[in-house]
Amino acid sequence: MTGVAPRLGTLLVLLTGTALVSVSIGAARIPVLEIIPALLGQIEGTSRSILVHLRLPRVVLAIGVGGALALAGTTFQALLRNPLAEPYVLGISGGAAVGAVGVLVAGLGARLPWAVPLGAFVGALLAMFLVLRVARAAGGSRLDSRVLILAGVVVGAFFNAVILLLLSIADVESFRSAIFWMMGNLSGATWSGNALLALYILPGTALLLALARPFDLLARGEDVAFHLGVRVERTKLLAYVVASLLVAAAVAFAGVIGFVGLIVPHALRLLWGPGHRLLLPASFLAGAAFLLMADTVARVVIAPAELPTGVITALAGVPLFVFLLVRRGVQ
Amino acid sequence: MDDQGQNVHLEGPARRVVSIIPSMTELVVALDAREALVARTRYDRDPSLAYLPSLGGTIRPNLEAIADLHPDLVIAWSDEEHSPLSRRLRDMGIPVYHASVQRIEDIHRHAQRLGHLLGRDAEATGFLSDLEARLTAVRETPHPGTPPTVLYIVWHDPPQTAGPGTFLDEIIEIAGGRNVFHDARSSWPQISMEEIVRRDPDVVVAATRHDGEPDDGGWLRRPGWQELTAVQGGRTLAVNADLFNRPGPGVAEAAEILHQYLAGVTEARAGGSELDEANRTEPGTVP
Repeated sequence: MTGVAPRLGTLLVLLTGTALVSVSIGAARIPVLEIIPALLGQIEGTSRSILVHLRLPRVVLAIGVGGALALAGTTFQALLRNPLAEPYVLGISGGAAVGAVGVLVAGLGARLPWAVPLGAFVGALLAMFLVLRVARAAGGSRLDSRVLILAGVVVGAFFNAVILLLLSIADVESFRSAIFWMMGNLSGATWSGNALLALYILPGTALLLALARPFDLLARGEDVAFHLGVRVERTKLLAYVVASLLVAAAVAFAGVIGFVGLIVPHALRLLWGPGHRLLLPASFLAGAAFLLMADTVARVVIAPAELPTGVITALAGVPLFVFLLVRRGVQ
Repeated sequence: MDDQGQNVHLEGPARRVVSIIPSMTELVVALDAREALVARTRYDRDPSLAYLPSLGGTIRPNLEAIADLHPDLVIAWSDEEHSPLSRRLRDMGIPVYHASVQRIEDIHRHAQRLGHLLGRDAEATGFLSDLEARLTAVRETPHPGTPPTVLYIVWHDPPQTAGPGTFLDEIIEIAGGRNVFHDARSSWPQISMEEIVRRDPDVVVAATRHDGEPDDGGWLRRPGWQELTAVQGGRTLAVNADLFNRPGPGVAEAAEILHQYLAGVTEARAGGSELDEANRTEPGTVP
């Protein structure tokens, strides 16, 4: 159990097992052995509707979003060499929230269901663009990671103020919708949405996985990496943009789900060390499994109601992370 | 006496009334005391109240604006009792009537008490007998066959319904339907889409629009709704939230609208599948 392949294999088994359990439980219980017959149309009725149109797309969305967030988190931590870096460090969550909350407060949520993810995506891209511009303007031709973090923080703070402004003029119903959206939830999952998400996640993930060696070298310092043949500025810009696109797409369909992108990469580093050839794919698989577990709990724990998934990721993720941190400290 | 068990004592009938509860504002109007109102909230969209200054939302109304109107009676939510709003109003010597409204019987109680505070006892009696007569007329015209199951959507994102012990649960039953979430554990439960699909109600009634707003049923394109037989069969009714989501004098009209709609649904059902097919329509809208 020391190589890359066995560890990734373990995570893949964990993810598959979680997916089977998640597909099986919920408002209508669907035995694992009946999943395939139901998909083939051999079982009719509401169970099949729930499975095909609600639960399966949601499981797929959880895998995509969880994987994307954890992978983006790993990327940002590698680039910024800051343990507090997470997927929303470049202000993306704030920008996405302004877009989504703006659509909801304008009362467009009921008439145009696709307007919310679109608004979130546009807001996220706007935030990313703004942060990169601010960092460039302040840091010159180089992308200075400290300036970038600072730019992300202030742009994020500005967007937060805009959100509070929007919420304070919202009526009761859109206020509820907006708060629910900001806590992050996967109940909006559809096959068409998932297809759109895959357009970002598949190439984005492949690109980031290919950057494992430059990331390892960057971890030793940008000068060292440069002398070892890494085109530092190009690598950084590419990684920022690709990871941000992943996060923007994830936020558009799932709202702001916190802690996955912060905790999963750190937990894996604590367990298996900092090598990116393992860390990058492992964080995708572990992030997917973690969000899927959290979403399954969110679906069933107070049935027939549902908790926002983001609540569970924080409630479960933080104690788990503290445990890993303390355990390493003791050793 | 108000819902906090406190005696509200006035020297004479209230002449300057501020209500921060829209359903109670409507009740004051129904008791023929519209001229006593000196303010409204932004949820009081009735054009006949538009001349009144708005205090903003109902959750944190502007205390200074209220005090500035020199009201001799403020009608506030019962759970405001311990809030700074109620305390400070009382410190200023302004009487506060606390009201909680969940069921139709609460409307009776408040009509009588507010009628008394407004010097409109006779109007309160008249209003209540009229309300009772209209509800009885609806109740005593049952539909053929088993009562259709009704899913009532208070708000669609995240889906929230009316549970037991609410006036909406009562209205559904009076109108000849059966609330599909009558067994819920709370009054206003938030429910998952999976649970809605599993229960597959006969009819979906949704209060997703306000007075004068259109509802093209766009939210029905969100995942899951198209799986409901009610949606596939066009048995969805978009109702005015300002009328249906308010436990005020509008409950009689709400019951009548719902009763009429359910009558159409049960008739189509009795007429067989052909009629049901012919009855397929776009989501219905009530003016």
